[in-house]
Amino acid sequence: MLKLQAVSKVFNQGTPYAVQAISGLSLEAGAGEFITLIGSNGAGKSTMLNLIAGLFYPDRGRVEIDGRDVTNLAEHRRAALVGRVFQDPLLGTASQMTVEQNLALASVRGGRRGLGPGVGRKQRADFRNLLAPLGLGLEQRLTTSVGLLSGGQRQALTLLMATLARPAVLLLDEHTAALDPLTSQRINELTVKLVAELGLTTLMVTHNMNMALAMGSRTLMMHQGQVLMDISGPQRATTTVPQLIERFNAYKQGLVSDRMALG
Amino acid sequence: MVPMSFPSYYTLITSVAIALAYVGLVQGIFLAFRVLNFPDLTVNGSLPLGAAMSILLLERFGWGPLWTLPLVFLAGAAAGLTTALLTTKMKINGLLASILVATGLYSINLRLLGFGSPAGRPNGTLYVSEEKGKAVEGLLSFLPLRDPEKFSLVALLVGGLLALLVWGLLSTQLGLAVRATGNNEQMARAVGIDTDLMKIIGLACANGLVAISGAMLAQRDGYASADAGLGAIVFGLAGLILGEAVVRSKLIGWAILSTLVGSIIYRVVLAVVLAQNLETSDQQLITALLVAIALALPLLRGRLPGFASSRVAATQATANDERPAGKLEG
Repeated sequence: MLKLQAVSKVFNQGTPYAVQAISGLSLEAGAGEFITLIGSNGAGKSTMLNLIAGLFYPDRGRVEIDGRDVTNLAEHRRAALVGRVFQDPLLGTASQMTVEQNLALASVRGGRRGLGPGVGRKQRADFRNLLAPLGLGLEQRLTTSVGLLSGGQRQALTLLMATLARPAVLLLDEHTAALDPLTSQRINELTVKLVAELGLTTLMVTHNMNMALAMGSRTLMMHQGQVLMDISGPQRATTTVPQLIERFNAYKQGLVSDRMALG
Repeated sequence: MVPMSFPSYYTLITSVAIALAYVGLVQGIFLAFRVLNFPDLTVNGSLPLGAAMSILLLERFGWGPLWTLPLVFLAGAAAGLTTALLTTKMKINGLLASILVATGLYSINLRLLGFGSPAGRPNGTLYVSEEKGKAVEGLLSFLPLRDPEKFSLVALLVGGLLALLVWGLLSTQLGLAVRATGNNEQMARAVGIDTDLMKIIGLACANGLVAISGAMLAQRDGYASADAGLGAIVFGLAGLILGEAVVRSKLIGWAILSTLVGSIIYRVVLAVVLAQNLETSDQQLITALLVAIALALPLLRGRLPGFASSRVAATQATANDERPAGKLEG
């Protein structure tokens, strides 16, 4: 469960370059809800995800995950609650470490890291069982450096790492945008499967309108740091991609005419 | 052709002894530069800090040489801790933070040396007096200080033990967290690693190892000097890079072993070169050249006619940004 209450964030406050990235945004996502998030560049989608993950803190408002106030909790301290996959496949894994070491790092997400063995024998068997269904052959390559894997393999691994410790919220920031169409599709299928199996509350940013409507159960459109459209259920089921693009453009043109009026 | 002269057995075994005393320095630099990906110049101060601490304890308080090492480690760790705090908590650029600490340590080292000297004033060097040297002999000691064979044996034991310790620690959950911090900080924080804490632990350990190295060198020399840190970083890098050029596996265990191998190769090559009618003072220039050549080697392999067969490998190595030369894996 995830709750944002009147959250605001300004970058470069007090300078001529001040940007209101998020302005008075409120959002509630029920347990297991899979939300897709669209909006033009600069709409505040990534900023919102980063506020939830704790990369920085809101100027105003409150962030709650699983009933816990995490508004000002350091990023690594809330990592037990938040799983993340980034757009760049290189960002989600440690390239110089092996597949099993990366998984082991993710398996103690939020827990204490002591002087016990980094990768346990039992863990190794678990990792094999976890990797085998992917059909990527990674279960045979536990001791391969992640840097030698393809972008798709790395993104699949990152997705497993993000969900391994069953976080309260899963944040996906255009996690298939850098992959080829076929790989992108496989990662999407894996995403849907993992989210459903584990019942994860999920926020997925995408620029693909088809994906935005086809995946998940609710779609938000963001513009200038606010949620302008929030559809689910029958309304979403009857919405088509052209309609979505039309609304998208309407917001953008609204912005243009405002600017002209001001000028 | 000018006939090549070879160093004597005594010179060679002395080189090995010095190389083994330097292993701690190379391992410390390995931890900072390779594992944490942090260019740490603190070592230029923590090496003579270890030397000063050890000789002070030995000369003024009569401690046995080996017994000084735990306290020496803690002193070095404190230096690394200071650098880490400056860079993580005060957000000072890492390289600058380490230079600040090394600069400050120069004065502290002079104070320590002065405190240990009979006059009680800093004069830059502190000798082990003859009576103290005799008195501490036998207390798990590697005195006489100038017996290179005996010294090599003890230094090999200490260096090997440190290598095993570093390897063991880097294989634990905590060690994996330190490695992840150096490899991909964003990912490390995303999986809940306190990356500031990992840098603090890593740099403290690194400089603790360097201080132990400084202490062993001083015990071999029979004195500690505040100037021992000049160029320490380059000497350590020379060992590290030569080791990596020879032991070409990037698995962590081999990478640690290469600190031992590289350190010895560096000192033996240095001894051979210096035997060609050169002065000891030419050491810095030769070291700088050696490091430059070792760093250029991957590229030269593809270009020089004799290395044609490895051209493809070299091209691949250059093309793949993910694995620049000298990065470790596994």
